[in-house]
Amino acid sequence: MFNMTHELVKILGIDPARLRLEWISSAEGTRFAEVAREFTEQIRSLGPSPLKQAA
Amino acid sequence: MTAIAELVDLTKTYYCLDCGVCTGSCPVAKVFPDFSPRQIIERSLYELEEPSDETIWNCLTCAQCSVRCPANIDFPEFVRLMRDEAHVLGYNGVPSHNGMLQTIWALQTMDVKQNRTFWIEDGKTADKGDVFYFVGCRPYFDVIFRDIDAGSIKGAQNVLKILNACGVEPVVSDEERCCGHDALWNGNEEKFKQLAQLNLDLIGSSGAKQVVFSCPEGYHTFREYYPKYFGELDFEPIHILDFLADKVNQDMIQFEESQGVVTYHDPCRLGRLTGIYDAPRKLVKAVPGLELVEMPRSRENGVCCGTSGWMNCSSCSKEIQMQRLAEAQNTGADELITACPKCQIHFRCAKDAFDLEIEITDLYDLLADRMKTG
Repeated sequence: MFNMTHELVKILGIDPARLRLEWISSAEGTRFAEVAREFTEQIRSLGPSPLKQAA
Repeated sequence: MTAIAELVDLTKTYYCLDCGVCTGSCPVAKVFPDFSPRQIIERSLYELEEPSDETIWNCLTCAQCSVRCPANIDFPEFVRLMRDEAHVLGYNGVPSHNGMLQTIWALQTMDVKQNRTFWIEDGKTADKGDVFYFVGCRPYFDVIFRDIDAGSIKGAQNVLKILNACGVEPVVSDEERCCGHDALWNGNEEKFKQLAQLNLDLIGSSGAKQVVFSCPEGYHTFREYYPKYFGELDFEPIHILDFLADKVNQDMIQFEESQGVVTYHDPCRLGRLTGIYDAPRKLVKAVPGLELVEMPRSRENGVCCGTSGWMNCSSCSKEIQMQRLAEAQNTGADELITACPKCQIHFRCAKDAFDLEIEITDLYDLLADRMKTG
C-alpha cells in the first residue's frame, strides 16, 4: 500500500519526500522522537505544499 | 415547492405510467430486490422520497431502464440530480477503495503539476496540434489495480500506437485532469465543474480541433455534459472506435491472421449512452480468423459491469459480474473483450476473486497486437 501511494503521489506531482513510512514499536520512544523531528525538518525544508493554493 | 417536487418537474417524472419496466430491467433489482426504480419514482411523485434515502446510491446509472421506458423518463439523470441534492445535505454513497479515487480527482482540481504521461515510451506525440488524445485515468488505474493485473496503461500505449500507425501524432498532456465523470455521478457538481473548466482551458491552449477518446466515460461526459454546463465546444469530441472503423473502411489499417472465439461486452457509456455498437464489432471482425459470438444480453440490452463511479461496490456488484462472466463463458468464447478501462478492472477483479477461466481482454490490446505495420 505504501509503495502504491508513493507511485500515485509522484504521478500527482507531489514530492515523494513528503511521504514516509516508519515502523516504530511502543518501546522505542527515543526513536519515535528522532524520526518525528527529522521528518518535520525535512518537510519544513521542502516549503509549503503546491496543493496549498487552489487552481 | 420541495426539492424533490422541483426535480420531478425538471425531469418530467410525472409522466411515469407505473408500468414497472424500469425495475424489471434493472440489473441491481435482479440481485437486490429492495432496490426499485419504479418505487423511487412513485415515492418522489408523492414527495415521500428524501435525498437522504440511501437507495439512490445503489443505481448504476447504466440506462437499461431509461432506454426501455415508454414515458421516456431519464431515471439515471433523475438519480444524478437527487445525488446532487443529497451531497449538498452531506449525504454520500459508500466510496470504493476507501475513497482513494475520489481523493485523486479532488486533488486534480488544485494547482498540481502531474507526471501522468510517464507511459509514452516510444510513442510519437506533439505539444500542439489539431488532434488531442484525452487519455483519461488509466495512468492512475495502472498503479492502483496492479494487484489484479489490470494492465490499464497498456491500453493507452496501444491507442497511441494505433493512432501513430494511422499517421496521427496527437497532443498528450501532463496537465490533463480527470474528465469529472465520477464527480458528476457522485453528486459533486462543484468538483465536476472545476475539473471540466481546467480541461477546457488546456484543450483550448493546445489548439486542438478534435479530441480523441478511448474511455467511454470521458467521451460521454465531454459530449453530453460539457456543453450542458459550458455551452458549445470549440472542438469535436470523437471516439477512437468511430475513428478506427472509418480507417478500416478506407483500408488504411489491416490486421494479421488470428484465431480464437471472442465475445464483446458493451460498456453503458459507449453503447446505450452514446450509441456506439457497430464500430467495436466491425473492428473485431476486421481481424481475419477471429470469430465474434454474441452474448444473449448485448447491444441495447448489454448488462452493466456492476459498479460505477467507484462507489457502492457490494456483493450485488459481484453477483452481476459473476452472472455476466458466466454468460460470456457460455457463448463458448475464450475471451471477453471490453472497450472500457473500468469494465476491464471490474471483470478482472471478479475473475481473480472467483478463479474463472475466461480471459478479459482490452479491445485496444487485441487490435494493436494484431495490427499490420509497414
